[in-house]
Amino acid sequence: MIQIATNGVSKTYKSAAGEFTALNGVNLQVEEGELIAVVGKSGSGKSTLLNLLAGIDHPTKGEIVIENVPIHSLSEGKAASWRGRKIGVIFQFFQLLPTLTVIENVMLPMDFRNTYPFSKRKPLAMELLERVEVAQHADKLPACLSGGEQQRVAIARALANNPPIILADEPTGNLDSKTAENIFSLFRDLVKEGKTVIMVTHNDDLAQRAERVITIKDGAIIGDSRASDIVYTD
Amino acid sequence: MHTRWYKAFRDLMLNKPRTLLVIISIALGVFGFGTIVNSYSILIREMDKNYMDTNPASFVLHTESVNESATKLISSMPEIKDAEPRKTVIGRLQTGRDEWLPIWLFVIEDFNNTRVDVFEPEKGLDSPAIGEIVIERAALPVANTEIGRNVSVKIPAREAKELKVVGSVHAPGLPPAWMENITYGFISRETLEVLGDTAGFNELRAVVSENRFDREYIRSTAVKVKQFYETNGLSVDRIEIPEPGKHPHSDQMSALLFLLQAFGLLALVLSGVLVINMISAMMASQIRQIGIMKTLGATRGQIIGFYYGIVLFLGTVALFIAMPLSAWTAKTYARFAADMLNFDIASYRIQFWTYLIQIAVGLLVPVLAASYPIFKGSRVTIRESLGDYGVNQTKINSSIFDKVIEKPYGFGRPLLLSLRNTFRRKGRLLLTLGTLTLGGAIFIVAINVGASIDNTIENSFKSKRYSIELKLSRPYPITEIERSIQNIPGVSGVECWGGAMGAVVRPDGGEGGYFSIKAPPPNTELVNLPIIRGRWLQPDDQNSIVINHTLLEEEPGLKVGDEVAVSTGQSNIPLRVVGIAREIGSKPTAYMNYAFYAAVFRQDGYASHVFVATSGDSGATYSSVSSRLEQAFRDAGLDLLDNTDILTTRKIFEDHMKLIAVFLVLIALLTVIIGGLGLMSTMSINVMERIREIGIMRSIGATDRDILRLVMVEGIFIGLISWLLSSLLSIPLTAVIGNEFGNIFLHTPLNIVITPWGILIWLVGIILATAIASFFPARNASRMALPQVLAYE
Repeated sequence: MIQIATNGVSKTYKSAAGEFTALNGVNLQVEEGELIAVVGKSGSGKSTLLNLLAGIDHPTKGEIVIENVPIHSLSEGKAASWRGRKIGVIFQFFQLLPTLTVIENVMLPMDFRNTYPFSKRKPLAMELLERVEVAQHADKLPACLSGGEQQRVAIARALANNPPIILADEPTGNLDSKTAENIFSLFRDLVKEGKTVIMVTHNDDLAQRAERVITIKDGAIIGDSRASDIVYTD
Repeated sequence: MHTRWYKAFRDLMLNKPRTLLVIISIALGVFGFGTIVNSYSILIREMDKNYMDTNPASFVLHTESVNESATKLISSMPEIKDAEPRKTVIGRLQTGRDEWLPIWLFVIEDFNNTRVDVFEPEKGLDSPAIGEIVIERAALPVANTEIGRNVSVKIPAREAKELKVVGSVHAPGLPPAWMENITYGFISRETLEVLGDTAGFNELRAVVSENRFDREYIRSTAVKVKQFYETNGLSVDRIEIPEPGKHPHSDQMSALLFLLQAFGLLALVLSGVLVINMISAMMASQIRQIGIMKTLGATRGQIIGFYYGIVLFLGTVALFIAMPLSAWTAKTYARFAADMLNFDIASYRIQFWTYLIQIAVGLLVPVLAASYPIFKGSRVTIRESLGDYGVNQTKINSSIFDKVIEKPYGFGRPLLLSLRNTFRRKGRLLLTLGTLTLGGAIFIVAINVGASIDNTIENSFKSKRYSIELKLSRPYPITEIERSIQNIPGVSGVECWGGAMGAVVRPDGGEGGYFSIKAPPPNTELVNLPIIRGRWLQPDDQNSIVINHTLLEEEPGLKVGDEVAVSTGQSNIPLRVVGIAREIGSKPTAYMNYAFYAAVFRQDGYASHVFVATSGDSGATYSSVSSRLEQAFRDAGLDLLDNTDILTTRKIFEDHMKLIAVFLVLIALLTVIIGGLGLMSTMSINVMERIREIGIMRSIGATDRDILRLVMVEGIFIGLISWLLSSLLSIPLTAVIGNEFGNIFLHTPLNIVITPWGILIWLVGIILATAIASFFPARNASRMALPQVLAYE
C-alpha cells in the first residue's frame, strides 16, 4: 500500500547569492514497511527531500501526500501536530535537549501531542529506552552519554508517539562503524514491525543493505534500486 | 508536571547569571514603580489625614476684637461647624547674644478645648499657665531650647520677657519650623498680657459645615459671616481663606511625587527595554531547541505559550523580590518625608490596589517586552533553527550605512572588526542603545535639574545685593534709622524701604490672602529682581506695582496691565500691574515706588524695612554686622521685628531642597545600575553568538588579549554612541522636567542649566560601565578551550 507519494516536487531557495534549486521535479512512491536509504553527494538535495517529507519545509512546486494527508498544503501549526503523531525524526547530531534527562527527552513529544494519558507516559518512555538498551541512563542528562547512546535515545524519542514513519538524516554520520551497525539493526527491527524508515546516509555499506536505495544528484532522483534478494543476518 | 516545564526550569538554572539579570531587570522596574505608588498611597493619605485631623480653619476673620458672645453667635450659624477665637502675634525669641529668631505666638483661649487648627500635646504640660509657653516640637531645636528652660520672648514695641518652656506640641498644620527658620509658641491670653499685649483676641477661625474643599463656597460663607458680624456692630478688617484642605507644604509633596512619577515611569520604560534585551538573549540561545521541539511536534502556539510561561515565572519571582523591597523603601521614604515635613504617620499600611498595580506591571511589562522576541523566535523555521551554527551569516553590506562602516579608514583589522560587529545586529544594538541612552539621559537630567535648582537659587539671591534685611515693628523716621547705622563698621550701604500689607479685593467684596507691600527708593541699588513679564518700576510711576511670581501664584488671574483694587486694611487703592518679577523663596509681595507709598500710607520720610549691604560676604561678617545692628537699633529705640541675613534665608530655602537632592542622587544611581545591566546582557549575547567565530580567530593566531580587546572595544564603542545620544536627549528632557518641577515647587520655571559635569561624569561612568560589562563575557570567551569553542553549538 502506498504510504508516501510525491508528485513533481521542487524546492528552490532564495539567497543573497541568487536562487538555488535543491530539488527539481521529484516523483517518489513509498510503501508501508520499506527501509529506504537515500544517497547522494553533499548538496544533492537528500536532506531537503527529508525535510519536505517531514513537513519541516514546504515544496515550491508539486504535491506530497502521506497517508492521504496532503502535507504540502498544511499550515505550520497543523504540520507540527501531524508530524508529532506520524513522523519520527532522527538527526545526525542527535539534537537532544541538553537540559532534559534522557527519559524526559523521550516524554517530550508525548507531552506536545498528548498522545497518552499523563500517568502512562513515563512507563512507555522507559519501555522505549529499554528497547534501545539505554534504560540505565534514563535519569542522566544527554551530555553524560556517548554518541551511540545519544542516538539510541534520539531513536527512542522518535518512537515516542509510535509514528508509522521514521525519517533519519545521516543517523550514523557521527558514529563509529560498530555503533552505526547497531543503529542500523534497530531500524531493521522497526521495519519488521511494519514501520517505514527513510534514512539519508553517506555510508555506502549501510545503504547497500537497505531494501531500496534512492540516489539523488543535483536535486533529481537518478537511481531507485530495490534489493529484495538481500538476506538479513542478525 | 509536563516535561517542557522541567526544561524551562533547567534552562533557567543552566544560565543562572542571565536568569538573574532578567529577574533583576523586571524587579528594578517593579521596584521603581512600586516605590512610587506605595509612597504615594502612604504620603498623600497620611499628610491629608494629619492636616485634616487638625480641623483646619476654612477661613479666618481678622477683626478688632473677638469676644465670647461673638464667637457663640457665629458658631450658631448653620453654615459654621466650629469657630474659635485666636490671636497670632509675630514676636522674637532670643537664641543667643544679640541673636533672635521670629516666633509666631498663638494665643489660645482654652488649651483644653481647642476646636480649630488643633495641635496635639507631645511632651510635658499641654496647658501652660501664666508666664509659661509650649513650643511646637519641630521648633524646639530651632529655638535652641528644651522643656524646663526659660526663653526670652519679645513682642513688637515691648521689652523682652522670660517665659518658661513647659511642654511641646505637634501642630502638623504649620510649616516645619526648621524649613522656615522660625519658631512657634502657644501661650494663654494671660501670658500675652505678661508680654505686654492686653488687646485680647483678634481672629476668628471658623470651619464651614459643608463643602469644606470648595473655595468659592467658603468665600461666600465668609462674606456672609462678615456681614452678619458687621450687622451685630463688630468690624472685620479682612478675611483670610487658606487653600482648602491643602497642607502648607503640599506643593513640596507634589513636586516630590511629580519627580517620583516622572523618574519612576522612566525606570519602568528602562526596565521594559532591558527585559526585551534579556529575553532576546534568552531566545537567541534557544533557537536550535525551538527547532527541535517543532520537529517533535510542538506547534508555534505551544512554543509561544512555553516562553510566555517562562517570562511569567520570572515576573513572579521578580515580584516576590521587588514588592517587599518597594514596600520597605516606600515606608522608609515616607518616614523620611514625614520627619522633614513634620507630620506623623499613623499607619504605614500599603493599600491593596498598589499591590495589584505592581503585580500587573510585574507581569504585563515583561510579557509585552518579551512579545517581540518570543514571536520572532517562534517564527524561525526548523530548517533555519537547526542550521544556526554560531558563525552568524548576517547579511551585511546591504545599506549605505553598512557601506560606510565597511570602509577601512586606516583602522587596524581587529579594531575594524569590533566596529563592524557593533552594527551587525542592528535591532539588538538599538535596544542596547535605547537602554543606555535613556539611563544616561536620566542621569544627566538628574544632575542638570540639581544644577538648575542651584542656578535658579543663585540667580535669585544674586538679584538681592543686600546682606541683611531688618524689619521694624512699625515705621520709623528714615533719618533716625540711618543715624543709628552710620557708624557701624562693615556696613557699606543702606536702603530704607516702606512696608505695609495688602490684599486683592475681589468683585464680591471678599479678599485674597494678605501679601507684603514693599516700597523701594527710586533706582534701588540693592534689589534687581529678574522680570518675567512687563517691566520694573520707573521713578515717575504712580499707582503702579510690580508683583512677584509668588503673589501671581496666589492671584493667578493677574496680568501685566491689569487694574486691581488692593485693600490696605483702612482703604482700597486702585493699582495697575506693570510687571511680574521672579523672586524665589519669597512670600507674596508687591513692589511700589516709595513716593507713591508714602503718599498713600501717609508715611513720607518713614520706613519699616531696612536693607543693609556689608563690605564682606562671609557668614562671620554677616553675623557680626547683624549683632551690631541689633544693638544699635535697640540703643536707638528702634523696635525690630526681624533681622535676617541673606545666607540664612538662602539656607532656609536650600533646606527645602534637601528632599529633592536626596531623591535625585538615588535616581541617578538606579539608572547607572540599569544601564550597566542592559549592556552586560547585550555583550553576553553578542559573545555567545560569536563563540565559534572567536574560535576561528584564535585558530588563526588571535591571543586571549586580542579577543578581550575586540569585545571590550565593541562594548565601549556602544557606550560612547549612547553617551552622545544621552547628552543630546538630556537637553529637551532637562527642559521639560526642570520646568515642570520649577512650576510645581517654585511656582516658576527653573533657569535651565546644562552642566558639563553631568555629561562628563556620565562619559567616565559609561566608559567604566561598558568596559566592566564587556570584560566578563569577553574573558569567558577567551578562556574557553579552542576545541570546545570550535565545537560550540
